[in-house]
Amino acid sequence: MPGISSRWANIGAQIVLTILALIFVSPLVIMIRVSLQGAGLGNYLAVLQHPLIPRFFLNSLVVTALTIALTYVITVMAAYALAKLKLRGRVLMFNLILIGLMVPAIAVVVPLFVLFKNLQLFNTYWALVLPYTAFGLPFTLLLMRNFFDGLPDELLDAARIDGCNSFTALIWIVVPLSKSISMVVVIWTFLTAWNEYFLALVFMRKQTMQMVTQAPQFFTDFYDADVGKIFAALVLISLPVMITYLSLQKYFEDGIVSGSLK
Amino acid sequence: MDKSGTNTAAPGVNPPGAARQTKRGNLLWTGYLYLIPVFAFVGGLIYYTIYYTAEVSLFDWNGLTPDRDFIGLENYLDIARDPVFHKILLNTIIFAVLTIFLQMALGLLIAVLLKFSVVLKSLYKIIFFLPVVTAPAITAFIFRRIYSAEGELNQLLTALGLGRFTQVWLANPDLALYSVAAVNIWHWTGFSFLLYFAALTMIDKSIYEAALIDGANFFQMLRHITLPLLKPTHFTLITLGVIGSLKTFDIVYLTTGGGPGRATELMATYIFKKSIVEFDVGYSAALSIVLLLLAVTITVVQQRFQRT
Repeated sequence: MPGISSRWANIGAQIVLTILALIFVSPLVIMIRVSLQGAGLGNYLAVLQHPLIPRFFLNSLVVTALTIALTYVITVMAAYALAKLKLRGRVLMFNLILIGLMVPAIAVVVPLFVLFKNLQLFNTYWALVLPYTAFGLPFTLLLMRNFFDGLPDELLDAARIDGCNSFTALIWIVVPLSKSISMVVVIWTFLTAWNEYFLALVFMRKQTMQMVTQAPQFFTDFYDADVGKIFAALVLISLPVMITYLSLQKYFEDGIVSGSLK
Repeated sequence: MDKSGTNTAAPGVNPPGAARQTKRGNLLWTGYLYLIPVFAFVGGLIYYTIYYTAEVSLFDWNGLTPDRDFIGLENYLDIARDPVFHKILLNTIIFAVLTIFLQMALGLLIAVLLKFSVVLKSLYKIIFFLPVVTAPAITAFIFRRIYSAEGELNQLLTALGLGRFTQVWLANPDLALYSVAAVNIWHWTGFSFLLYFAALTMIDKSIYEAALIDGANFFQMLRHITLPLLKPTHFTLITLGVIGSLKTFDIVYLTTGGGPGRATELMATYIFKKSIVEFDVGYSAALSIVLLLLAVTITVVQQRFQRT
């Protein structure tokens, strides 16, 4: 921002940012420090050698991957139709979907419980993939529709003249242009699905079907008061999401600029 | 379609107008196909469960036995009279106002400071956003430790010579709600920061240059240029913040469980307890519907404000 180029202002900004950053990073530093208590890195080895840990990771990976795939495909199709095809009632349909933003899964856990019991989905990946997708869609659709709205109509008109139908125009013109916003959708879905705790607690009763977010509680019971091992588990669970975010951070920020702000 | 009922007419036989008409017609109709999956999911899981919840809210039902008594709007009248509901409504308002305001203020402060010529910019960005990607289940574990009697917060206070303020932060009914709000602020400030940072990037620099020529200082520009231009972001964050506060569950449930007493009970934790712990499913369903109506009403009112 111009007008703030004075040297003292910059030094002041640096100091305030450093203090804030120290405050914000301290809980994560504490997590790592506690994870090394007692046996040091041995805590990590102990956690990794526990036979159920790979299973928890596999479960979360499968659920997260399926949720991302479903969410992405459905979001792209719906956002395209709502933003770029002249459908009657599209504003109403969009608003109807946005109602989903306001419903916490907690509030409808009883009907979900009854429904999944009847469908015999307990202890299956679908018991999580289906609600994660349904409850995640309103937000990802909001982001992607905003982005598609910003694409010029002339682009699609030109594609149509060149012989594209609405579907080929989507695949060959719109999707390649939406890389950054797609990253936002993928990362956001990744972290909400990987980090979800409550539905996983309700629907995954069998130990071998539990998700990584259940692991801390599991290790609390298993290792009793061995805080070091519990926190080592916390670090290990956080790593996939953090690494994903760090490696895709640039695209994520670009996507936020293009998607959420109008 | 042509009148002969076949699709085999050679290209160019139909007048161009008719061909376009057919193509348009196809486009219109097939356009709705793209929306089938989203409505299958949203309809099958969200609308269906809302409908079911609305229906159940008219019954006295424990959720287990097949028999349930129809009691009309009795559950809703009970909510209006329920002192616990009044308490959690107040809690939710305090929680919402505190977290939304502080997350926005801190997020904006960080975003603006990062526009100065400072070093380590990308490191700061990572540090402020990492809490957002941390699972609430993990956040809760970390803060339960930090806030405990022997925890890092009390150690810090003692080290600073402020030992008289040490306490078990989540067990003090007067402070527990604020302690939990602080956890929420830690978790979500990075999100506000990123939205503000993105919005600041998009502001046209020439506006500031013009203001500089007119002799404006930094704070005048912040007050009269930056803040008004960020209005859409303010509204987005307020809307998402209100909805988020009404939905807050994991962070509270896994740190205090809503206690001590009802000191940190919020809408979502109360709904959960009523149905899963107390088996008062009819009442819990009515609470869910109230929550949904609150969220929709507040959002619609905000949208109106934003337009004016």
